[in-house]
Amino acid sequence: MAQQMDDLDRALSHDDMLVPSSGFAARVMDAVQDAQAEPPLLAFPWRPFAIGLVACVVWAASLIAMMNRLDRGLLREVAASFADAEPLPTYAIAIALATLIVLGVQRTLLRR
Amino acid sequence: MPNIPTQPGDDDAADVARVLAGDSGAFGGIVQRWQGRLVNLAWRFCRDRMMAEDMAQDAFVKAFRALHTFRGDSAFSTWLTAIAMNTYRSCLRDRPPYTVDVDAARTAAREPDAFDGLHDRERAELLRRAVVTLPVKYREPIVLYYFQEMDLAQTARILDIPEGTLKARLHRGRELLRRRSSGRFGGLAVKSSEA
Repeated sequence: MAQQMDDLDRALSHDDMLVPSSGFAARVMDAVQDAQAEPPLLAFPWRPFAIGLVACVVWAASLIAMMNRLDRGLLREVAASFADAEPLPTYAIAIALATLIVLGVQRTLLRR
Repeated sequence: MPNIPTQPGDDDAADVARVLAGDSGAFGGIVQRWQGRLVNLAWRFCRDRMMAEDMAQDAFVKAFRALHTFRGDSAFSTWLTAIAMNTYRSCLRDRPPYTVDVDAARTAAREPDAFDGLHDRERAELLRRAVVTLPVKYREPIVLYYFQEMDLAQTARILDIPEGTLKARLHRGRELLRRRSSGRFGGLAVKSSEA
C-alpha cells in the first residue's frame, strides 16, 4: 500500500472511538459464567453407532450367506406359495407382521 | 493443557493459562483489555451501539469456549479478532441491508455539490458510514486495515486470504467508496448485499 495518503485514507483512518457502556464487562462475565454452567453439548454417539453399523453388516452378510446355502427349490416353493395365495390378505399380513417386528425391535433398543 | 508461551508483560497469555487451569474469573482480564477493541470493531460493521455490544459479548463467549484451541502460534489479538470477525459475520448475515442517512442522500441528490459543501468532518463521517454498505469482501478488509489499524500481514491472516488478494480488495473497496462519494451521493444508499 505504497499509495499516497489522500482524503479518503485520512477519513477512513480516523473514526470516533466508542466507549463500551459501564456494565459491559460485567455482562460479558455473566454470560461467560452462564456458558460455563451449561452442560456440555452432547457428543455424537460414535460407539453405539459403530456397534450398530457392525451389527447391520454382520446381519446382511449372514443373510446373504444363508440365502446362498438354502435350497433353491425351497425358495421357489415359498415364492410360489406367495404367488398362489390371494395377494391382498397375504401381503397385508406379511407387512403387518414385519411392521410389528420392526416396532418391537425399536422399542427394545430405545429402552436400553 | 497447551503450552502457551508466556513472556513478561504478556497478560493475555497468562490469563489464558489461568482460565485453562480452571480459574474462569481470569477471563475478566481479557474482557477488560479487549472490550474496547471488540465493541468498536462490531460498531464499524453495524453503527448501532446496542447491537455492537451484543455482538462483542457473543464474540467473548465464543472465545471463552474456544480458549482451549488457542495454541499461541499466532498473536492473541489475531486469534481473538478472527473469532470476533466470524461471530460478527454470522450476526450480520440475517440483518436487513444497511443504508446511509436518507435525508443526507436526498439533499445531495437534489444538489449535486452538496457533498462538497459538507464540512470535512461530516463528509468523513458519511464516508465511514458508507463503508457499511460495501459488499462484505471489501468491507471487512477496509474495517480491519483502516479502522482497526492492522497491518497487511495481520489483516490477511485474520481474513485467511493471501496478501495479494487483500491488496486488490482494499484497492477495489477504496475505489467503490471514492466513486460513491464523488457527487453521486444517492449511490450510497445501496444494499450491503450488493455483489
